[in-house]
Amino acid sequence: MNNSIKNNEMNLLEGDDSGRNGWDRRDFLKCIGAWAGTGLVLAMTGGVLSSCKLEDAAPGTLSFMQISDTHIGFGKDPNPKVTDTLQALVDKINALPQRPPFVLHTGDLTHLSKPEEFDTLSEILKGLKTDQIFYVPGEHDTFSDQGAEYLKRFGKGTQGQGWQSFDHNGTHYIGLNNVVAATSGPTAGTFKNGGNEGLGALGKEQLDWLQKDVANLSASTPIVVFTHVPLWAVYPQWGWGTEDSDQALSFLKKFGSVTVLNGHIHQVMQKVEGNITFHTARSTAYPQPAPGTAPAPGPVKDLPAGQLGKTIGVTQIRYVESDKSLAIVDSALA
Amino acid sequence: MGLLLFGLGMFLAGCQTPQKDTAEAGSDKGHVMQGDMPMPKSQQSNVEQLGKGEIQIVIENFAFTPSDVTISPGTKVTWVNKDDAPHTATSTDKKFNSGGLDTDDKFSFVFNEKGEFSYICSLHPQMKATVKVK
Repeated sequence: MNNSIKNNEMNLLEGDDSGRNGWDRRDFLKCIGAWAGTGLVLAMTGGVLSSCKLEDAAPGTLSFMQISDTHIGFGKDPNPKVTDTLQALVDKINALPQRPPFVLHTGDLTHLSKPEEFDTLSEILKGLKTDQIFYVPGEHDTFSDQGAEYLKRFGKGTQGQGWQSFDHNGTHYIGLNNVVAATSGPTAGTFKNGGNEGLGALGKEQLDWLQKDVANLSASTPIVVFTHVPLWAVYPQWGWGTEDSDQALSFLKKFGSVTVLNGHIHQVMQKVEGNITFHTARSTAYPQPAPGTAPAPGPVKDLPAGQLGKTIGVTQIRYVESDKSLAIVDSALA
Repeated sequence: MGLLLFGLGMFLAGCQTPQKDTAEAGSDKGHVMQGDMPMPKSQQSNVEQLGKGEIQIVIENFAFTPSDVTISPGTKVTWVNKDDAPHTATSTDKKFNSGGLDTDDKFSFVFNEKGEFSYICSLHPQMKATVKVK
């Protein structure tokens, strides 16, 4: 399973594709995309990942953005000014030739769930030129009060503890909360977030909702799932997985194209399993170590000078009209 | 809200005394409590022998150290977060909850009742530890 993980670091502004670890030339099958500048794009076509340089951009296709792990309230190395880097990324999105119709935030809006942190986040994102921002919470948004403050601010129009779905341009979007479910085990029903052993969890109520939500959709409907903790076992030792994700994914098996977007691990990583493409986004605040390369998954604080901008960023998801696939482009801040 | 519930629980319990320096001081840094001395490493495995008084549990590398302590009733336990990531010390039976402890934040709780108290970090529930009071 691990050998199918692609840790694909890309830097669009500098055209640096040297970090495409694990990528074989055979993967570079098809050129698509429209991001200005150079870089790589990944095209999901029938479950096959491909990628290419972006010079042959085809403007005019619709795209949306994903931002993640803004961690407002964090203020130490390697990024004492997370509001500045978020603002720079907002400016970058606003400078796109086409305004994204919506933006997904995949959780950890704040560092410590403090009201003033939520205030700051909302204030900065007010400046984002888009029609709507959809949120799911991360454990940093919910750990102190089971998400009460988060839901008060961002729960409008959602179900249960903040899950939701909507349709846009023929694609069905599903936002899942995998950080507050009470699951079985010795610590069930406590203040604990998510599943046991630090894993994310969806919980029965949300799974039941998900099953019903997709029951009547045709199998040809493209599905985009967005959630905080990965729905695949990236590194369970660090809690980088979701303990009941198999059940959720079983409801999505019938669909020809499923894209799962998440955050939580502060680095770009992707995996394809059958019809499902998993993709984790960078944080806009700070990077975390690659799985197992540090004693614990805290911030990477000893970055060489000038490297922070290469480790944080945003993600663009682009429809490819010609073959109804999705392209995912990770863009670093600098 | 958490502190309010906490206060109520404390009242009902009668004699449990939680203290969180950040909350009391109303700022991120807060004040360091009197007598809140770090315990020498050599003594950490022998906390039972300290009897009444105070002990400190360090949160580092996503772990509580020491993870299991045995103390006498009336002992004040102080957790200090030495990680770059925030953590909590949260009792699994809701007896105490530090709330979010950022780097160098501390939280103290006086264990007056005998018993075995399991706790976790609610941000990282794989972090588990126990305080035994006897």
